[in-house]
Amino acid sequence: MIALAPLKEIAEKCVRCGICQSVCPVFAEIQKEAAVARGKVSLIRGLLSEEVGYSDRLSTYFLQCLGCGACTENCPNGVRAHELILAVRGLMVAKRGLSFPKRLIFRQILNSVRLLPMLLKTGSLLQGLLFKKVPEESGLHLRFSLPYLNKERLIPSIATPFFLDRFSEEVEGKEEGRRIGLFSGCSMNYLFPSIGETTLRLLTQNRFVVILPKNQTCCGLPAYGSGDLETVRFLKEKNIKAFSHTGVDQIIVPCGSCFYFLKEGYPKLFPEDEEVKTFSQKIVEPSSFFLELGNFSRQSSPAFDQEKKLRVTYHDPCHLRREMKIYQEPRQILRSLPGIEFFEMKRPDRCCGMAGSFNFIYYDLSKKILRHKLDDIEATDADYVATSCMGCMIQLQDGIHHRRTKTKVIHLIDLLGQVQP
Amino acid sequence: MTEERLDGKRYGTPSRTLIRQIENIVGKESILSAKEDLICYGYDATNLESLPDLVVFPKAVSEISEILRLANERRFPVVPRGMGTGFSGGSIPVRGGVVLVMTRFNRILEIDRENLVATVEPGVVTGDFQKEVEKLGLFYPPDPASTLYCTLGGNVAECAGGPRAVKYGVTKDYVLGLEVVLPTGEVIQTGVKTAKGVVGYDLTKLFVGSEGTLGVITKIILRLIPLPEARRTMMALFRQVEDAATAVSKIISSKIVPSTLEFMDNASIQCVEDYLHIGLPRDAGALLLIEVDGDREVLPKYVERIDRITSELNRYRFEIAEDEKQTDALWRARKAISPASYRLNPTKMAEDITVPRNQIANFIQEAKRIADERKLKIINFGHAGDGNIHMSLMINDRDEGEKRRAEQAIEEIFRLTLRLGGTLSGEHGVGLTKAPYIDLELSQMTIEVMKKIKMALDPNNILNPGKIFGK
Repeated sequence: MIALAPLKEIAEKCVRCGICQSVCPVFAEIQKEAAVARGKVSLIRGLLSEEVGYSDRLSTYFLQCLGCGACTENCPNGVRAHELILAVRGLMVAKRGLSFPKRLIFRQILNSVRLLPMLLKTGSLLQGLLFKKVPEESGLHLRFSLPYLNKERLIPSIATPFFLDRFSEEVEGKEEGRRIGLFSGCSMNYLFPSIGETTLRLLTQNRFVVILPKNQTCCGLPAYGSGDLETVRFLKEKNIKAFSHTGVDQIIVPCGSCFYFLKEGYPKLFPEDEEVKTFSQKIVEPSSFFLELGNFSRQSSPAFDQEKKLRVTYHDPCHLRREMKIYQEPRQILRSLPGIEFFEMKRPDRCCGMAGSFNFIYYDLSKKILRHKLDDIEATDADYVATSCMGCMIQLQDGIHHRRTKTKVIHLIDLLGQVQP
Repeated sequence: MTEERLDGKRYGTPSRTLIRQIENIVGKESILSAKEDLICYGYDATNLESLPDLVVFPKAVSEISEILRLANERRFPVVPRGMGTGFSGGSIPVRGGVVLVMTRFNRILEIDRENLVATVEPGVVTGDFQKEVEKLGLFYPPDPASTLYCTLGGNVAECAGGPRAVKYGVTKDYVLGLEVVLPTGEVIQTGVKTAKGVVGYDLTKLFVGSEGTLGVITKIILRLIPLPEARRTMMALFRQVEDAATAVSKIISSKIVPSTLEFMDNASIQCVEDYLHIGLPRDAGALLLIEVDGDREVLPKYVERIDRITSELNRYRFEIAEDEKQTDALWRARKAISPASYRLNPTKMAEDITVPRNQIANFIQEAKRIADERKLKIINFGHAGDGNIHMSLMINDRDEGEKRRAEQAIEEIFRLTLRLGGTLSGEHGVGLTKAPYIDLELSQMTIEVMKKIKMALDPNNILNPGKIFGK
């Protein structure tokens, strides 16, 4: 699907000015050219001229990227470097195959409808054995280290029953209205079902009939991030099929990363596919959706009408801000909610360092990147840091837990839900 | 842009013993030797490339001394490097050898508020340093375009400038003293930590702008000034280049020295308008971006005077930024030139010639004629206040004929520059890109003196060979 040759023209647009060195969160920690876009573009040229091959070292360097897109955003010559890097990961998989754990996860588990829920159900039974619960948080700690899971890591507990199992395929409120699809995504289904429930409640309160196809699955972004396009294709087809007979013309996606991938990633990767085009046109993002709906702010709420307003700051998920240019809408919502005072942190758009499997392969590096974000959050003295991506939530919760700061991580939708009980 | 491989006499692949010797000096973790890494350290911001044989990240002065001693013993080249953002190939290891990456020397050692002096290591990023001193109400003015991602060491080695040079001067005007490891490994201190100092030859000035050929800088003593209280930005569009040039002369002769006086010619304006669609008049001859700074109370007077001066000329439009947002909007056109220019052609041959301020209009007219005669696309923009013009030929370098014509044009433009009383490079340095042309500007004797200095300090020519004189 991807060939090296078309990358040539894009790679040659890089004039090596080096500006990416000033914005790349990975380079800030590693300080090696191979960590930054300019170096990686040079390695692509090296691949083109066959000076280097798909070696272990090269793979490592191409995996050391968050895909946050800061380089692309700041490139004076419009080189879409982070996309080039992802494309090379695809080539790496084509040449070298997937690593064993990824092969297992993407090809065996994600590719099977039953295996993932089954494994996670087993996991939820075993988690008491493997993990110890952290008091006052909804998270768990490993009792001992496992491959790819650092013992220090705080992991949200697997929530059973899963979100999609809690409801029927069609949920309506007191009044009947327009039909809308809800895409769960893995994190909401297995880890944060309460965000799904809040979304459902807000939708039914606004007279929507919510359609929740049971056979929807992972959006495929983790597989794309690892260069496994075969799995992406498979998952894409499943998701399109899951929603194809529901008759909805809008599908709301609470996780910013899933939203980006369904809306923008699918059509970019499958440009010829008409079904993809129709599907992606239906995808909507909650903050813009609820803003348009527009009646949330007028309601006052006992929970929030206090003397002391809650201090809230917002962390921009890369996929929403850089890829989709959605950053004003969440702020508009935060500014209009009663009982809330919104404070901007210093660099709200700096990547938190999660970046899917990056966080598992390079846990220590990921935590170093997170440190800057935590500093910025701490400086606002906020009660809540709101965000719109479940990946960012996992990362921020882990960091805040270790620092023992007072700030709590909350999904924008949950904040909305608290105002409108 | 295709890279150009350089043929210098290379040192050759370092032997195992040599690598082990260097490992013993800096430690294994401070060396990169895999092909994948070498590929990432063979370039700067020019389109030139030549791979090193080894990349070394020293963290102590003694390590640099030892490496240089070893280099003299084994005769391999050593090339100092900061963040690799230079515009003349200064940090490219054209003959292979060791690239000495100085980024681990990244501490600000002291900011002395009473004496307005700071001591820094060379790997500190210029923009980071500026942010730190500005927190204390102090100011380090040199602002090359790469401020946010270049190092102070690189700035000193190339004597970097920037838009503020018109009022505040360039890097050399702020360097009071240095610690330098000589090519033979000895460490010396130059200069002073005081405002004045005349004991012995001014070696500081010798090392500033020496492009990494005379020593490795390990410490820099910088002069600071108080941070101006406020700043105002204006933009003026003129029908003719001559009007803009007259405006520049009149502003300066009216005793106002703007902190920035940036200029764009018609070709740059058209190019940016095609790119941004912000309503710049396509037939405007020139655009001036003017910034004044100083005490808050005095700025309105400057703005008014500049408004009056430019209004007496053939001007299209005059805009004054009222806030931060409007300031950014005015800078937008100037900052878009680089990406916009690549719409003309894929390869840029960029020069940074400098002419006396009152020759700018002449230069632009003549340079355009030289380019037109050879059917080449040319854009001129840059620092009008100090006559430093970024003249760029935008060419398709796959067209051999066009490439040859461009090379001829560059040489002729250099001759024109010198005829007008200018210099070949205002702030980028000679490095590799201008090395073939220095004898146009410097006499044989002058070059001889420079070579003697180089030989005296670096008898085996191991430090950054092939630069400045390498024809």
